[in-house]
Amino acid sequence: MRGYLCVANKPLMIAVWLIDILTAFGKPLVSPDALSIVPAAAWLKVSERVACEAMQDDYCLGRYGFTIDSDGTFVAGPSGEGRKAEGRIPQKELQQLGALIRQMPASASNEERRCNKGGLPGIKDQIDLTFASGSAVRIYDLGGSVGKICYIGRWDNVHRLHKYLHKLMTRYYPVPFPKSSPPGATPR
Amino acid sequence: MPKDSTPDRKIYSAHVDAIRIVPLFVADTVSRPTVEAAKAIPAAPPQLTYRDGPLLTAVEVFTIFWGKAWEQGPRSAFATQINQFFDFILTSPLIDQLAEYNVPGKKIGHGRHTGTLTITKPKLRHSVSDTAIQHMLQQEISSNPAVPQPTPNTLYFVYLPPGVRVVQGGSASCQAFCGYHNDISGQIFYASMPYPGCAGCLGGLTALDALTSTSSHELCEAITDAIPGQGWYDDANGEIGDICAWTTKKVGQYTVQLEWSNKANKCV
Repeated sequence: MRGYLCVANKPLMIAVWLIDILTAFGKPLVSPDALSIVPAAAWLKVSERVACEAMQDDYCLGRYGFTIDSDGTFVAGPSGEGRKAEGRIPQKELQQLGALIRQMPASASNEERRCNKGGLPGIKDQIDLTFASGSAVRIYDLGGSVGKICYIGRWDNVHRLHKYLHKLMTRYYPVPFPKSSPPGATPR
Repeated sequence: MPKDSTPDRKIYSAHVDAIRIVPLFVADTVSRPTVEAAKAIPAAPPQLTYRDGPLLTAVEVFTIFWGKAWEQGPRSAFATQINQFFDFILTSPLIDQLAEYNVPGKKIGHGRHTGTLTITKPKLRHSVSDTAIQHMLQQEISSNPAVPQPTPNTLYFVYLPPGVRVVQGGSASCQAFCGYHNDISGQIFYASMPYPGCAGCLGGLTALDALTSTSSHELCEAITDAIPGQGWYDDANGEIGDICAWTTKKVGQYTVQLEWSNKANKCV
C-alpha cells in the first residue's frame, strides 16, 4: 500500500520538487558574504595598482595607481615624480561601480582570505577598498604572494568588480602616462 | 651537456604559500589617509633577502625560438644575434656582479650557452599561454634529443616571434609584461620572451637592444631567484631586475639592464 502511494504520487512529488528549486532560484542567496554587505554610502574610495614585469612604467596600465572616490572623482597616479591625471567618471559608471562595491565585505575581520594559484611571476594587481570608517581592505591581490591570487569575499563578486575597475582604468588611466601632469584629465 | 652530479638534490616545492602582503599604497591628498595607509609609506630602500631557494650558480642557457618566422631572413639573423649575446654575456662582468648574492654552498659563477633550437610545432596562433609554453617545453625535453635534460642550472629561454602575444590569467605581453621567468614544479627553469613589438617593451631602443635588455633582466633574476620569490627577493620591490627596470648600460657591444645591488644600495 505504501509503495503504491509513492508510485501514485510521483508526478506530484516531482512537481513539488521543481517548485522548490524554482523558488530557491528566485530567492537571494544567504551567505556569510551577504551578511557583511555594506550600505552604498559607506565606501570612501576604491584603488587599483598594478606592477608589470620588465615593462616601462609609463606604459604599464595602473602602475602609478588609479583611485576613484565615492563622489566619482578619479586620480591616476601620482608617479614617483608627482605626475598625475585627474577627472570624474560619469554618474552611470559610478552607480555601476557602487553596485559592485556593495557586494564586497566591509571588513576582513570576519572573512576568510582565500588564495588560488594564478598569475605570472613579477606581475601584481591589487584592489583596495577604503570605507568611511577609515578601514581599508585589500579585496583582490594578484602576485602579492608570488604565483597566487588572493581575495576576500565571493570570487564571482570580486572578479566582477576587478573586471569593471580594470575597464574604467583602461578608459581613464592614460597610457603612456603623461610626462607632465595635465591640469585636468579627459576621458579617452 | 653535463648531467646533474647530485641526483639526490633537494626538491623545492614551487611557490609555497608564504603569504606576503604588499603594503597598501599611500592615500592621495584628496582623502584622509587611513591608519593602514599611513603605515605603508615606504621608508626603506629595496633590500633583497635570501629565502633559501635554489640559485643558478653556473647557468646553462638553452635558447628555443618558437615559430616559423625565426627560420626566415631577417628574423633568422636576429635569432643568431640573440645566441651571440648569450655566448658573450654568460662569461661577462654582468655575471661577475652577481657574486654578491652568493650564499654558503652556492657560489654564482660564469655560465655557458649550451645550444639553440628552432621549433615550428606546435603551430603558433596570435597568442600563446604560459601553460602552452610549459607544455611545449616539457614535450620537447621528453621527446627531442636536441633539447638538453634539465639540470639544477639549466635555464631555457623561449623566444616568440613578432605578432604572437603571451597571455596568462588576464595578463598579456605588451600590456603587463615584456618577459618573465618561471619554473615548472621547481625542477625546470625557463624564461618566456615575447618579441618586443610595442613602445612599452621597446623603450626607445632597437628591437635587438630591447630584447637583450629584457633577456638580461630575466637572466639575472633567474640566476638569483630561480623559483620566483624563493631566492633573493624583496617583498615590496620584487627581484633584482624589477627594481632597475629599463635602466640600461652596455656590456661589450650589448645593451643590458642594470641590476639592484644590496651592497651598493643602488642599481649597478
